[in-house]
Parts: sequence; C-alpha cells; structure tokens
Amino acid sequence: MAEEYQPMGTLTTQLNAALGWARKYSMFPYPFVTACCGMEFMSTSASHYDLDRFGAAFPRFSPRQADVLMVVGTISHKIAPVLRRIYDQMASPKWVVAFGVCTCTGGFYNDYSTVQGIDTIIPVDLYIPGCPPRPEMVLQGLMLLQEKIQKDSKGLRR
Amino acid sequence: MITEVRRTEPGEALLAELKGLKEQGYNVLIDLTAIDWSAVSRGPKGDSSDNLKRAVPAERLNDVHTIASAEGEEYGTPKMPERLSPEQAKFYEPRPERFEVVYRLAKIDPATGVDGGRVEVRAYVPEGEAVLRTAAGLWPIADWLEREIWDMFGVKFADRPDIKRLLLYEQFEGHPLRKDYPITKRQPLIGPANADLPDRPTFNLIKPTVKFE
Amino acid sequence: MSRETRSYMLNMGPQHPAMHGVIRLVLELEGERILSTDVEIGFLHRAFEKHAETETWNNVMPWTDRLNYVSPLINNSGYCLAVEKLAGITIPERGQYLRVITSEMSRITDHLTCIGASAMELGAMTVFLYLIKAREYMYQLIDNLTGARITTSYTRIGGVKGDMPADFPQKMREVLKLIREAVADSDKLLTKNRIFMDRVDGTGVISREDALAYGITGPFLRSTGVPYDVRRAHPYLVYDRLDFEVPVGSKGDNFDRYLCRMAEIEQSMRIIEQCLKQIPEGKHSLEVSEMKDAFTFQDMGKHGDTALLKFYKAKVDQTLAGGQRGDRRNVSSTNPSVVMPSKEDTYGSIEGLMNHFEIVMWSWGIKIPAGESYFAVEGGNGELGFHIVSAGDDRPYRVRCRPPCLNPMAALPKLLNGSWIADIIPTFGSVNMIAGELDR
Repeated sequence: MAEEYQPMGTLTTQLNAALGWARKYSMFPYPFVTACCGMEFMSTSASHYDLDRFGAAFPRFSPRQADVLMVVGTISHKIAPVLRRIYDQMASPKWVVAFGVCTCTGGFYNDYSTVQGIDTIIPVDLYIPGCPPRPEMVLQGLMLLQEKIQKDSKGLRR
Repeated sequence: MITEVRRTEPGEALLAELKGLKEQGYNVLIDLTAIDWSAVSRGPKGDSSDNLKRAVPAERLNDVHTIASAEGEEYGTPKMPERLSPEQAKFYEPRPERFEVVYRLAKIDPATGVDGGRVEVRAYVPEGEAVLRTAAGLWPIADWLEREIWDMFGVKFADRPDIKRLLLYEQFEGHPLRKDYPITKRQPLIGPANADLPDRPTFNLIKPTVKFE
Repeated sequence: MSRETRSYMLNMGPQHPAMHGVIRLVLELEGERILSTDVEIGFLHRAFEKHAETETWNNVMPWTDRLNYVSPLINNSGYCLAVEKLAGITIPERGQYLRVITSEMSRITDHLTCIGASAMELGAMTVFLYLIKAREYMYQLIDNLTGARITTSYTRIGGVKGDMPADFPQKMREVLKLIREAVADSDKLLTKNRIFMDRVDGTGVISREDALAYGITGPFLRSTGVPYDVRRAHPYLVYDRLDFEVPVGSKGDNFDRYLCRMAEIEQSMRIIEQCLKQIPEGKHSLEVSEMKDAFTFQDMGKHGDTALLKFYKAKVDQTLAGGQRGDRRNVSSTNPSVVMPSKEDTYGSIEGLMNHFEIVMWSWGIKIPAGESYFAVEGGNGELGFHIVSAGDDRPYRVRCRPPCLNPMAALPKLLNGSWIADIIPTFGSVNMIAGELDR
C-alpha cells in the first residue's frame, strides 16, 4: 500500500492532533485476561486506582468494538491462535498492550507450553513488565500509551 | 492425616480393590496421580543414569536439557547421596515398572462431614500397553483425572478407547511429565498460520437429534 | 406436516467476558435450554509440576503463588507444610500463627473477588466496586507484611520470610472494620434483592451424593449440606485452638454458595482477630541500645574485631532475609539443615558461614529426606493437597498439586444440563474457577 509522504498543511496537522486527542482520551480496552495479572487489572479498573480517569473504564467485550487489546496474563500455546484471531478481528486503529512479564517475554515460564512473549505472534505497542505490575505501573504505562496514540495519529488515513 | 497404603497389581486386581473400597464406604476419590520412577531407580551399574538412558530412546538422548553446572547434572535426575540411611536406600532400589499410579480415597460422612479415613492404593504400571482399567464407573471424577494422566505421562487405560488430552492441545507431541521430556523443549505454534489445520472446532460436532412429526 | 428440529451448538469460547480466565464450553442448545455441555480446559497450562522438578525446594515458592492466584498465601503454606511433614520439621508458634493469619487474609481476598466478579456479571456493578475496594485494603496489608500484593512467596521451608511489622495488629483491626462495612453494604444490596435472587436461587443445583462422587470440597460441598472442612477434619497449624464456625447450606444451589462465602469471610475475620490476641510474644524489632549501625558493623569486621561481632546486633532492615537472630527465631525453626542462619552467625562464626554455604550453593542446598508425603489445606475452593515425592536431593522429585476447582469443573455438565443459558453465568461464577489452579 502506498504510504508515501504527503506534506501536511496546518489544517491537516491540527486535524490529526485533534483526532489523536480524541482517541487517546476514549480508549476502549479489550481485556484479554488469562492469569494472575488479571487481579491487578481488576484493581486498576476499580475505584482505588481508577481507569475511568483515562476514559478507559468500560471494557468492550467484542473485538470489533474495541481499540486497545490488553493482553493480561500468560499466553500458552493452546490459546495463542485465539489471541491471533482476536487481534485480526479488531479494526484499525488498534494498539496492543502486553501487560505483565509473561506477555512481554514469557516471564519465568521457560517451558514447553508458554509463548515466549506475545510479540512473536502479534505486534505490541506497549510493554508493562512486572509480575504482576503494580497498578501505578499500569497507569504510567497507559499514560505512555496515550502519548503514543497522540503522536501516532495520522488522521483519517490510519 | 493417617493414610493406609495398599499396593496391588494394575488391571483387574486394582479395579476389584477399588470396588471393594467403595463398598466399604470410601465415597470420595480425592486424587489420582502418577509418578515416573525412571530417574531414580538404580540400574545394575549402580548409578541413576543407567535407568534414565534406558528410558530415553537413543535418537533422543541429545534432547535432554543439561545445565551448565560443574557436575553436569541433568534436570530431574537426582544425585544419590553418598551416605544413605536404610529407609533412603530402600527408596533408591529399582522399581518393577516405570510408572506408579496412586489413587487416594477418603470416606466422608455426608451428614457430619467427618473424614473417616484415607486410603492410598498404589500400583506399578508398565509403559506401553494399556493395563489399567478405568474407575469412572465408580467415581465420575476419575474420567478427567485419567485423561490428565494420559496427557502428562502417556499411561493408557484399557477400556477407554477415545482418551483425549486434558491440559494440552491435541497436536502436542509427547508426554511432558515423563523424566525424559526436557522442560524447555519447544513445539511449533498451532493455529490458523499453519494452513493445513482446519480453522473450526473438529471435536464434538453435534448431529441433529430431534425430529418433530 | 412434519417438522424437523436440530439442536444448535454454541461455543462459549476460550475468551469470554466473564473475568474468570480461559475456559471453553461447547453447549448443545435447543432454544435456550442446554442439552449437553462439553468443557475444555488447559488454556493456561504453565507446567507447574514440571518446573517444580527443576527448581530447588525453596525456589518452587514463586510457582506455587501463581497456582490459585487470588489466594497465594494458602498455596505457599500448603506446599511448605507438605515438605515440612516429610522433613519432620515443626515451626515455632509465632510462625504458625503468622501462617494462619496470612491464609485467612488470602481466603478473604479469594471470596471477595469471587463474589464481586459474579455479582458484576449479574449486573451489580456497585457490589464489585465495593468489594474490590475492600480487597484493596487487604492487599495493602499483605504488602506491608510480605512485600508484595499478590504473588507473595511469603513462606519458606522451616518458617516464614519475616516477622510482622510493629503496627500490623492496629492496622489490621482498622481494615477489618472497613471490610465488615463493605460486606454489610454488599449484603444489603444483594441478599434480599429480587433480581439477584431470581437469577441465583434454585439454579445450579447439585445433590450431596453427586458432589461427593465428583470429589468436590470447599464451599461448593458445604452448600449441599456436608460440613466438611479440612481445618476441622484434619486440623493443621493452630486451627485446633481457634474458635470458628463452618457455614453449611442446604439446597446446593448458587444462592447457598453465595451465602456460604459471605459467612466464611466473617469467620475468617474472626479467626484473624483471635490469632492477633493469641499470638505469642515476640519482639518486632530490637531495642535501640542493642543495635549498631551497619557501617560500624562492617568496619569492625574489616578491622578484625570479629570476636566482638557476636555480642552486637546489626541494625538491618527487617525485610532482609536472615535479619536479627532473635527476630527470626520467633517465626522460623532453628533447624540448620533447612533454614538460613542469621546474618550475625553468617559473618561472625565459621559454622554459620558453612551453614549458609551449604544451603545456598548450587547442588548443595536444602535436602529433604527421601520419601513421600501428602498434605491437604483448606483453600478458597476446597481441599488443596500437595503430594510431594523427594529423592533425598536438593530439589523435589515430583510435586503434585490437587486442584480443588477441577472437581466442580468436571461436574459442570451435571450442573448445567437441562437448565437455561442464563444460568451458566451465576453457576460458573460460583464455581470460582481459577485457571492457574485448574491447569497448573
């Protein structure tokens, strides 16, 4: 696909910035929760460390309606095709968050049944290591993701 | 927890023992596990590596994962200590077969919740042909526990022709909890990227059942 | 005119919105009525039993955390108790009380999570937020005591990692008050709620004989009327000195299980309060006059004043392993073959140094005598058993974890066949399936 560089004028840059602003403050996460990190995900989205401040409160349980795929917890070989299929079903723009060290690199599960990092299967935008990461780390990671969403926005083209 | 330990031969004798225990009131099958003794039984040379090498086929000997330690041990193979007490020496004697299956039963009174006693029934099982009879007729949970033993150890059950894996996927090759399966062995990923696999569930297809007139 | 109908296969796939983890149910439906169910598990198989064969005895602790990850301290205690039974070690009383306190804290978090998540799926979002907030208080306390919120690895073979901080009992009493308020609020919202009761009352019924035939234990079995609790049937640690009730249901449906869990939270809180009263005295930290600064200590050692080191105690942070000798003796056994010596002994005497070496060096390590043992503790879902086989080596030969939630999952077809699709949600929520434990 032609991704040629087109010089952007003031109007399109502001439009891209506005769209980036809108996208980053209304994230619809798809929580692909498998394991222990799901407990920290629950804590993060509950009332003490609130995900609603980021506009990411309401999880969308259908991949076609979501834009942030949060892969939370260990991915084993048995569920890896399911993860791939869900990623394929999401519409762009989409971002992937690897939550927890099992999704980043496999964690300490160096064995026959764990995928050693989901970036072997799907492209990842944000890595949050930790076993499990504290909610403060998750929130910092989400803020970094928001910056990325803002910068990445190519307007209507993406 | 006082547990009485009984030992029988696998197959008919084991099933008869379990039936007898069930009639005596052991109404709960707490657990059903297996142990792979191939790494600890001493061979005629007196070291553990002898039996382990016999358990591993020759072309797979290089697969066994070795750690970079001074002694060059293999995972899962214990180093027999030099001075053994008599009980420990008994532990290192060669076992009659490679696997051992342990049934753990309990007698729980439904009215008072008192645990009336525990029994452990053990049997040595050879690898290869299916010797054990299924206990699913006595306790329904034995169905899943036997599937897990087949999955992890490769111990077959004689009157269960369609035994399925429980914890691993169907395309997995090997039985991981055996002592000759290295933990870091990787298998290829399954799924839609491997195009020869059908992209739909292949088990439990429902056939039409009801006909109205 | 004849009509032909077929049943319809619906796949509640490995990823479904209930935040319970990964499970697959293949349902054969006729309209909304379930004709048959096929349960497929194993999507979180992480090879716990295989890892346990490759790690030393104490190193297995992080893997046991991740079994039932909502109540990790119970798994830690269960594994350590099984190994200590094989080795013949009894830990001092203060350590036993600490293990009981942490187990009950974990049981509270387990039940809070189960009820909160199930209530959320039935539509009661507020209850979820209240109970997760209550769980948050408990996590902060667990953090204070063990150093981590969820995956704690708190116990060690021969004891626990460290003593509790000085302000722990006071904080615990405040937290228990807050949790009681949150549970009372949730109770007011749910227990006599028409919508909740219509969904939950009379659904997912199982009889006593079926439950026992499937080997089900825990709140699931107690809701059918069998008062079997491992803490009463085979008392371990100090449970025989504590006064608590075992709540028992009668009908075996989801409502009884919900009530059993709510009642068990209260009983766990009672147990913690009694433990805090009964726990034997031990110093939380040393008196200031006995302590010297860590740098002074080091200087004394460098100048060769090692003879004097035995009489002083270094002021080190209590969370460092092997802290003050007096402190450790309260919570860990002094058996030198399994427990690390305190820092004063390691740096102050040659026997301590050799002891430290023998426990820590590769292929030396803690050696548990050859044999087998099985130990069962009461987990959040039922009887959590560990069957340990040791070959006399520095690592286990075989560790088998008997998962309590495998049994209700195997009984799911019995629970669901003949009922409606809408009954799957409360039934599955009350099973409290934790995939880490189910698939290990």
